[in-house]
Amino acid sequence: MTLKELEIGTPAVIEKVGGSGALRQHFLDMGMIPGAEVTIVKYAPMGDPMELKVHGYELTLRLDDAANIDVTPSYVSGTEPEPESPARSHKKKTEHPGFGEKGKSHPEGNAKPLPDNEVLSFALVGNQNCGKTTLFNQLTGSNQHVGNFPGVTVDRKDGEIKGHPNTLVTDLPGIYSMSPYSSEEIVSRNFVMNSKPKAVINIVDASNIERNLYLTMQLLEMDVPMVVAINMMDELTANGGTIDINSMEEMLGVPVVPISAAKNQGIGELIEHAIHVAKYQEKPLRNDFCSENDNGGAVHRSLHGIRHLIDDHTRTAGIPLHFAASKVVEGDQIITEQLQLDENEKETIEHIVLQMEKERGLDRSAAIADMRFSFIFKVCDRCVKKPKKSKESIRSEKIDKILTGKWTAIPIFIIIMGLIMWLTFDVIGGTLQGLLETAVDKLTEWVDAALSAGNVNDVLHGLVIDGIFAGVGSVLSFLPVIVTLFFFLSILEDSGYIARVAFFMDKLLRKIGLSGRSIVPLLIGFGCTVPAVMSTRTLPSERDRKMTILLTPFMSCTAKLPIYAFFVSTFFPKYKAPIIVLLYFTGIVTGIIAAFIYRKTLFKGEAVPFVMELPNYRMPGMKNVAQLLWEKAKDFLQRAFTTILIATIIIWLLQSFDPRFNLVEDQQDSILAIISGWLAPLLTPIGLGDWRICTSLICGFMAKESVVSTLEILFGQNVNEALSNAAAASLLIFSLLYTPCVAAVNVIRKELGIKWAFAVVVWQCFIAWIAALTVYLIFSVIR
Amino acid sequence: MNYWDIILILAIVLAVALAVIKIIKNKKAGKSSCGCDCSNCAGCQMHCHNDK
Repeated sequence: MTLKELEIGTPAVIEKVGGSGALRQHFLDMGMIPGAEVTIVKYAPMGDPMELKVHGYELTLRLDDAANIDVTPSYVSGTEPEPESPARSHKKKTEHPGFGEKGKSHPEGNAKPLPDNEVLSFALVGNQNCGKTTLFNQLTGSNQHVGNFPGVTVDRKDGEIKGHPNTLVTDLPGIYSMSPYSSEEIVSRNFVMNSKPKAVINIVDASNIERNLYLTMQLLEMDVPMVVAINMMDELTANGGTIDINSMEEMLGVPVVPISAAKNQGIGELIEHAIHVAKYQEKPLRNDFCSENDNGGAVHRSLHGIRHLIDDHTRTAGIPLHFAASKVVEGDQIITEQLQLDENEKETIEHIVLQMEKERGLDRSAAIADMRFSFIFKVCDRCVKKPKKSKESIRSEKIDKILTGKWTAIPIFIIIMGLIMWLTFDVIGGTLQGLLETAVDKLTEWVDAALSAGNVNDVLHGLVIDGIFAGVGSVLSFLPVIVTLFFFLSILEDSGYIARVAFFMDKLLRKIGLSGRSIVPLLIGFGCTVPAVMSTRTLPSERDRKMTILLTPFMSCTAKLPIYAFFVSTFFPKYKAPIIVLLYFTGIVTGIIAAFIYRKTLFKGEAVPFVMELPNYRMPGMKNVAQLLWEKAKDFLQRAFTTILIATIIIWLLQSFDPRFNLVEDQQDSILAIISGWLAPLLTPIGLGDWRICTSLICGFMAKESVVSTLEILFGQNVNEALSNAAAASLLIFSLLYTPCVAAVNVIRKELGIKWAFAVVVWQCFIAWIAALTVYLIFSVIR
Repeated sequence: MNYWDIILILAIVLAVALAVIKIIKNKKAGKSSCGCDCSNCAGCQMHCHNDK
């Protein structure tokens, strides 16, 4: 039978993993190998995808993909499964090997430490959801900065280890293997191979150790000095589990350090070991995990044979031998091309691999995955005593019964998002905004009085009060709203809920041609389009990525909040919250319509398969959230006093002076009016034909927040008298849908190219115009 | 023009200069073009460095 036909709760053993290409390799890398036991936990509320348990963690899988996996039930349904047998206790206590420690063993060939002035660079590598960011923050504190990996648009975080000025830790993206399934995986392995960090810190989740060690083994094959940090040890021990660190260190051949990054435990020891292995270039004692005793030794013979064959090529290409051999067997085209094998060698390798497949009874990818997992199971069998079921897992199951229940998942999601909006715009964000507005007004009055008392020149007085204070002040007051929204989005993500949203939204999103994974960038788009666009990099399909990027501008970002809040307060004060919610809803609906159009035209075809881990629910790390909010607030303030300050001054200058730089008495004679006058006729049909509105919309391209500040300046704070309700509604819709800001367009340009970026600007303006026209006509008829 | 005018002009010029320098510095340091530190955006945490 196939996995699709398996009943919920019935354990089964995988017999065969069908499918092909990168997806199949991803299944194998995630532990879905022949012989692995799987259990279906539940189906999503709409019946697809399924959630299944393998190697102690949860994974999502679509029914169509599950149909490619053949399974055999482990026991007759209705009877209890046999309990997991605990690790065999070892009567012989393993002595601490002391890898990575002073005065203990030094593997051969590394008696010479690196010079003292040489920077010790580290790559921080681990699975997603293993606590890497938390560890990175503990290691570096605030000594970190963000950039990009060269040649690709994947973010890179670097930082210096606290108290060790001659160090540099690079946080690599969370990955499951070194296979080229996504750009993150390629970036990580290229970084380790090409940038040649002095050592790797591999962080492993103790509660999910089998899957995490799969990446560890590939890192060991890369033969780089390495330390394994077993994270979340506190959770493991609290649930009755243990790890024999000495034995694990002996088996892996690298230092193994138990830590709890969240509780800052073991970090000092980790740093000491990491610096030591880097300084003395202590490479792993073990890169070879195949055994001649396993399954007749077929994989062992093939790997060893291929290693001899490609040895010279790996040295020329600068690729570690053991890593290259296993990748060649797996059929990794990128590595194979880099080796530049000649035809004879390729044919020989193919014969070796075919023979291996025949003897082993598994295809090449499954055979390599099985080889690694066999070793991992030996390590776990000897070193790990797993708790039967962790408290976190039990808690997650209970919570999931409600949050991902068939009839409760989507209503609860809508309630949660509605609650967040209400708290953001009204209770918390709205209240704090009012207080901040009052404070800004008071400060403005005080400065105004001071300037008058000082007999300051009228032009300068106008620049400061009507330009800078009006412009920057109106934007500043929205800080509480934006921070509040980011707070809630961060909580949702950190707790693990967003992954569930992706799970139960998958079937819905597939109707518009995307997978559940795309919900995450779309949700982030409600915060800011820039990180939303960048977060699409993890989508494995180029098609899905492009389509998701094109849809993110429809998700109204926080920068537009000032526009909505200003206009609903001015024109529709009784219907503040409902109108704002309606705006967001309109953006989503318009996005859905656009998605249908894209699906039929530019992006024909199906969405990518949906394979995603569902981590246990966790209490959000408040320190991380607080740090994020502080950085967000700091950056918003920085932007207000840089980009928006400059934009405000430029606008004020343009609207105060004519082309001959004479002070104007009538603003219509100003430079700004002339420029906007060329474009205003385009907006006349939608009730926005005033050059001042056109100007503010142009300024909104620089920064959405500046639409309000510009309007305030140009209308002299009398916007409510200058616009009708219909025009206000039209402006709201136009602002919702027209081109994203220059920052977002720039990042779209980086991701998709200049043509796509230009197309987004034109297309969004066109859609905004149509929608605004519709609203304007409706309002005009009603009124 | 009095002393206050001159002081005010100098203050505005200084503020603008500092703003421009900050924008250029951020660009050179590879910060996101929105001015935000992406590592601290919910999105970046979620996907670029997706872990807990």
